[in-house]
Amino acid sequence: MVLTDGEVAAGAKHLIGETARKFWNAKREADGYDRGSGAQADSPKGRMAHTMQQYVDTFESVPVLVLGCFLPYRHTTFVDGASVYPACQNLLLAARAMGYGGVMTIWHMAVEAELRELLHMPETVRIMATITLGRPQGQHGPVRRRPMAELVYGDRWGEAPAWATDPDGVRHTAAGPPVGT
Amino acid sequence: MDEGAHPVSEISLYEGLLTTRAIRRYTNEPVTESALRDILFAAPAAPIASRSASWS
Repeated sequence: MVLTDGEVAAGAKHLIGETARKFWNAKREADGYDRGSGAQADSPKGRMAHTMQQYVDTFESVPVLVLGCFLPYRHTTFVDGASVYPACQNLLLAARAMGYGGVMTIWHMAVEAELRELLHMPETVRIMATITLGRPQGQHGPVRRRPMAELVYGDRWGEAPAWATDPDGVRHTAAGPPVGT
Repeated sequence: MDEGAHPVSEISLYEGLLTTRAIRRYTNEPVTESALRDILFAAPAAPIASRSASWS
């Protein structure tokens, strides 16, 4: 379902906005986004906290809200996601190709019953993803991830093949808290 | 498709994969209906689980 303007779209954005704020406030506290490197506004953690706060505080003004849904016709299993999430990723990449951007969450989960009623959605439909889209205020750019040798193994778990090396100039991030915090 | 309504970026597919970030801050600009149509057209072009396919 694609929700843009109007009363119903505003209602759906508000329902998810309220739960997004609850979710983020709890995560901000639980994961210490105001402690350690999070206390520094220009650290990756501090920037993430600032962006997330702004995102949830202004959720009602996102230009487009997409709910990725699934209509099972057999009994459902965890594999159902395999029929939905690739489409969601395609959607995000297609948006990116057109100069837009977005992000996928599962914030609908806490307000699924209310969304169902608002959108006249049958009980048989499952909401799988909440995606917002719009024209980015900032820019896309290389993402930071863990070094390839930490993630790619060959014949033995934990041992990276010799070819599993990152291209020059890749910026890494680490699992867990940054060293020195 | 509306040529030129929302020019598709000329970056390669691979570069796009490596540089697409989660975007949580948006301008006030609406997403045009023709862009929405093309974005949503691309979504179900993705693979699905074979057990979900409704063969006819």
